[in-house]
Amino acid sequence: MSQPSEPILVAEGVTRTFGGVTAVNNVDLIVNPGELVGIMGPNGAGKSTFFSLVAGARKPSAGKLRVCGKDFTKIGLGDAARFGVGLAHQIPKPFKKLTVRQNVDIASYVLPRSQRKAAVDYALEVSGLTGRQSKMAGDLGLLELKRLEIARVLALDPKLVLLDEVAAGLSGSDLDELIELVRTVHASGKTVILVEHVQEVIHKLAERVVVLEWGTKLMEGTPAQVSNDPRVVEIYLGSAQNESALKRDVHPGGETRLKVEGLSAGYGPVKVLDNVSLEVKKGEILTVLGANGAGKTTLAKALEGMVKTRTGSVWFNGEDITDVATFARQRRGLALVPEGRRLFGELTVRENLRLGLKSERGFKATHKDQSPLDKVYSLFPKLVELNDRQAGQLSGGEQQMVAVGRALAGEPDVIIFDELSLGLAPIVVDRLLEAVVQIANWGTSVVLIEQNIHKAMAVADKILVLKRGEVVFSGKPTDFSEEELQRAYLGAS
Amino acid sequence: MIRQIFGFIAKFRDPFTYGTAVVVAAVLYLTASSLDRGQQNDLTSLFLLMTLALAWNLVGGYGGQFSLGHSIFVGVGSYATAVILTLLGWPLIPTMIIAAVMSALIGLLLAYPLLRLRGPYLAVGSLGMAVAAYGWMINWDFTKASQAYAMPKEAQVDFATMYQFATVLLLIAIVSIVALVRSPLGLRLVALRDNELGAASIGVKRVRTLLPVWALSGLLTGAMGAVYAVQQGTLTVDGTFNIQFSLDAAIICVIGGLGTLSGPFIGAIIIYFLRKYSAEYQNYALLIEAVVLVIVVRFFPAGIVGLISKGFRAIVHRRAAAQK
Repeated sequence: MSQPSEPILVAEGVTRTFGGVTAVNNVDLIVNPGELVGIMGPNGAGKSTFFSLVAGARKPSAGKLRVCGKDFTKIGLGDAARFGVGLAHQIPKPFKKLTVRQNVDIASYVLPRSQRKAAVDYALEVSGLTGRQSKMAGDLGLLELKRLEIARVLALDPKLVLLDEVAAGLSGSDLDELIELVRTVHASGKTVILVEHVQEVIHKLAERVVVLEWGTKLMEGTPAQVSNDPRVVEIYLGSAQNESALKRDVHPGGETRLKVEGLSAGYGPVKVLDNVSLEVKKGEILTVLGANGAGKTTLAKALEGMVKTRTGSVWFNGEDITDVATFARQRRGLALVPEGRRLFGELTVRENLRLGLKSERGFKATHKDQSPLDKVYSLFPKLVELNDRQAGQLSGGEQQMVAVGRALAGEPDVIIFDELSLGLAPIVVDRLLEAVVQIANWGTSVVLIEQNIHKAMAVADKILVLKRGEVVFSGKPTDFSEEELQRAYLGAS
Repeated sequence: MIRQIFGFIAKFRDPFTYGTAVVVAAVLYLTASSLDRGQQNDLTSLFLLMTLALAWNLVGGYGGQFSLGHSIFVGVGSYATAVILTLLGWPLIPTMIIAAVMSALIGLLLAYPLLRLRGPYLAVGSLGMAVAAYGWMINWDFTKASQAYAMPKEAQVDFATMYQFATVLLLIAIVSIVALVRSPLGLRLVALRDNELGAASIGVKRVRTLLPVWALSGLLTGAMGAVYAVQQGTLTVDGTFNIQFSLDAAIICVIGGLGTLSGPFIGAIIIYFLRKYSAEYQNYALLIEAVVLVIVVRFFPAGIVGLISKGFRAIVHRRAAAQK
């Protein structure tokens, strides 16, 4: 057994390459038992890759890596959990056909038989899932899935807990609950390393922060030191927001592009949207806000025809499209940039964009002059150099650019963005919001569904706030007070 | 009220399953003599089809590994029975057990390389092995190559005994599969199917989990092959190492419900009677089966079991809503 004084993680010159790309480059890091360390960095900085090495899911190409006293440079899948390392994935990986308790049970099998039941009970209780333990994992919502992910990790009784972007997609009281959960886990004597974009989480929790950029360690220090370091501010937060980039040069108005009247929708017995109405004019940006479970994503799906409309109607360019199939709405010019991007990972960037075109003629035209793709490349010049890369290999921010580009390639009249900024660094979010404003300036109407409340309100012409499937506010962002916002998110009345 | 009934069923689910299986099997076993020979033969065929589907479902349904190599186990089980009886002259039942064990060992041998493959690659890999085994057998003089291999006299039992073999085998299959599926190993198996990466990160090792499952599937399929050999009386490579066994098992499970306990039973009954009664339409028989398969896959992708449980849940939900 390892002595108590031995560090739980020792990384010396850890490097990982994929083909010709170096994702993690010569990283040194020591973590002592009982610490709570945060790792930050912009998208594509190599955080997730570094985490996968520490979790034993991949092996380093070079360097030394010892975790929990074991050599992790030659380790098989499934071993890390037995050595005391538990990883909660950014995207939950539930076993959907098993119950919540069975999901957690499986993790406990790494423990001696006599400790299993207690470990599972404890994990369920700490993560607040005791009341849901006989539900099917496939029926859980996002927050519950994140809790399940953590419960499974806890049931391993690990020495080292790795949390990969567990706060992504959460806000308001959900976020606070999650922070409290991580704090409880740490207080129970576990060493925790977390990768996070949500600044608040790092600030509230971490004792020490490591900043990665382009796969190398830029610096490490206390949260205060890191957030005051000018290098970090520049690479991570971007220079002060360029106000003019978010300025609207066209004042929206004129014809109505998208109109919804009294829309209700849901899944099975559950009613998710109740009597929702909205209207978007040409070149207008409508921001849809609301806490998790308020029905934002369901609204996007209902607009796009992926969820059946129960009552009410959807009008597009003066035409009733309530019963029109998804692909046909897309062709008429109602585009969706879905949550999680849904790119074709095996195809190149160019091929992904090409699939978004209305016709092949548009693609051939790129060799001449006029093409919808030219607009995409002018909006995101970076995509030109990424053209021949596989979409699945890109960083989160780059993938989101491709997803936006693919939707724009169809020359839509209305474009819906579902969770545009999810899991992305602030600098990338700013870049994407600038693009959204540019798209609206071209005269395309925008429906922007966002977690990033303040930034999304800054670019909005109108906002719509949902609470448990009902519209609680609809109007200009300036008329919507901070108080009302709190009420919609935190549920206080 | 409904909730209490469900709670009761959940609590006694395992004893209930085992108890029912044992009682039904005992009744079938003891009433063997009251059936005529045609019925005994028909039920033997049906039970063997069920055993085949149950064994395949372990790997293909619960494990999500679409094996097209299960014909190898049928072939090994049947030919091993015939060869041991002929050359060593052992008693019938120990011979059949040894044949099943040989098939289980073959299962381990095949699974070890196959488990490095996933999805369609595993299906094609196992198909390749089945084709290779067929090719080997059709040329192997030791088992009379492409000529028929007659079972020796010791294997000639009456229809009632044959039917009892099939009944006992089916009972063993049910009990061992329920035990495995409800055990930690069974949970790990489903976890690997639902999300391999998620399973690995909580300590589930793929090969270690899947090897015993393939071994059990091979054991049961091999035993089915042994009883099948007794039923047939004469073995041919075409009749035993035939890909059709893997396809039948897969079709039965898809129609009944993949990865469910009752799916293979329902599927086997449907396919068995469909074939029995459509046989008189000759060329149209295959067409009818194909149409049934397409309809099920299109409209009830979770199989007949999925359809039933969906309807059941709808009723319970309506009751609960009415109570509110």
